[in-house]
Amino acid sequence: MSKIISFIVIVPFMVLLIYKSILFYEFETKQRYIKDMADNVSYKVKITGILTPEEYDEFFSRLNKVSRFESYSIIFQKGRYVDGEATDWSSYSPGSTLDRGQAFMIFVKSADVPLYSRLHNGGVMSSDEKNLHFIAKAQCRIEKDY
Amino acid sequence: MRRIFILLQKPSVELKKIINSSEGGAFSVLMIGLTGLLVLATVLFSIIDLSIYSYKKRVIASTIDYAVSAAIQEIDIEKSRAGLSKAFSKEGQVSMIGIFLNEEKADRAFTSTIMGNVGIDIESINEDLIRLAASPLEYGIYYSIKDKNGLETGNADSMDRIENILNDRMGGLGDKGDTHTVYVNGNIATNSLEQRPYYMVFIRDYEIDGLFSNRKATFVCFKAAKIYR
Repeated sequence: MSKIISFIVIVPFMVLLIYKSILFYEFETKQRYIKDMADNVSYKVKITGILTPEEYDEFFSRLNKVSRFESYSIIFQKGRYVDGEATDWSSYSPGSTLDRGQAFMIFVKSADVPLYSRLHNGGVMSSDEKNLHFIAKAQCRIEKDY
Repeated sequence: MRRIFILLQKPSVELKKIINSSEGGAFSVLMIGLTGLLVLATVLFSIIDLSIYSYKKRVIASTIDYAVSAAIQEIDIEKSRAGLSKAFSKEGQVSMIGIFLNEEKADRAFTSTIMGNVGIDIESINEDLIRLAASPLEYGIYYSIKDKNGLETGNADSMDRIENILNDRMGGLGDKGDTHTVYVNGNIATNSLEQRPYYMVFIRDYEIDGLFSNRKATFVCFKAAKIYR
């Protein structure tokens, strides 16, 4: 009987550990995938100077296969380099063309809180800063050919 | 005559009795379970630690690529007027001779792009950072190399020398355990340096935080300028 009690003490810890590891693996894999997608968009714009609306739609639908992203979760900005400093940031809308030398920035943040964060924090925290989201950012300088 | 015998019993005998006892054995089960739990936790946390490190390393590597791509566009127009006026070389190719980078602006573009991507302050890694700008001349190359020991400018015979200039300069950073050698011209088919302005960055042993350990990574990135007239 006492052996059973020992098992009852140990097994839940093992299950919790394995469950947390699986959730971390899921979080990390998705985070890598989202960062890769953001980098792909950034490289495309860096080389061509434009993100077409079709490419944006494809990007948006791909993101939503991984987690929930709203249109406000995806921010595009354009700027310019003045004396080497990226500055004058303003909103970029897909379809508009950027010139060589301009700056481009993409930032995505999932609207949903991943399961790993919920387990780690014991639920969704009221202060969003404490919640882990899928976040990716990439800033580049346009180098398209003329 | 009386003899006194003292029997010393090993402490483990009592422990064995407890473990082998048919009445319970809870202690043994608990110990085996705890050991298993410890092994499992160690393996899983090590994997998590490594995956955090590899993710961060990848993000920093792509950031350095963005930053060097931004820096190489800072051409010094005033200084390059003579070079820019010669559109084509004798071989009929677009001439890149006599075109110089504005090193100050290139460094700022590099720093600003790194900061914008991952928020790393370049000043904090200045001890392990080397920045090199090179430009082809009619005969030989001009280079400018900068690290914590200051700025050095000079001329060299050819672009192939950049590799040696960088490797020589690394010695000045001081000993930090590992030694590094950069091979740029290792594979001529893929990596050979052309007659173009270059911007090159070497970051030695940058510490990346994992879950409970710090690992070091070294980054090298170089890029040639594309010039349009």
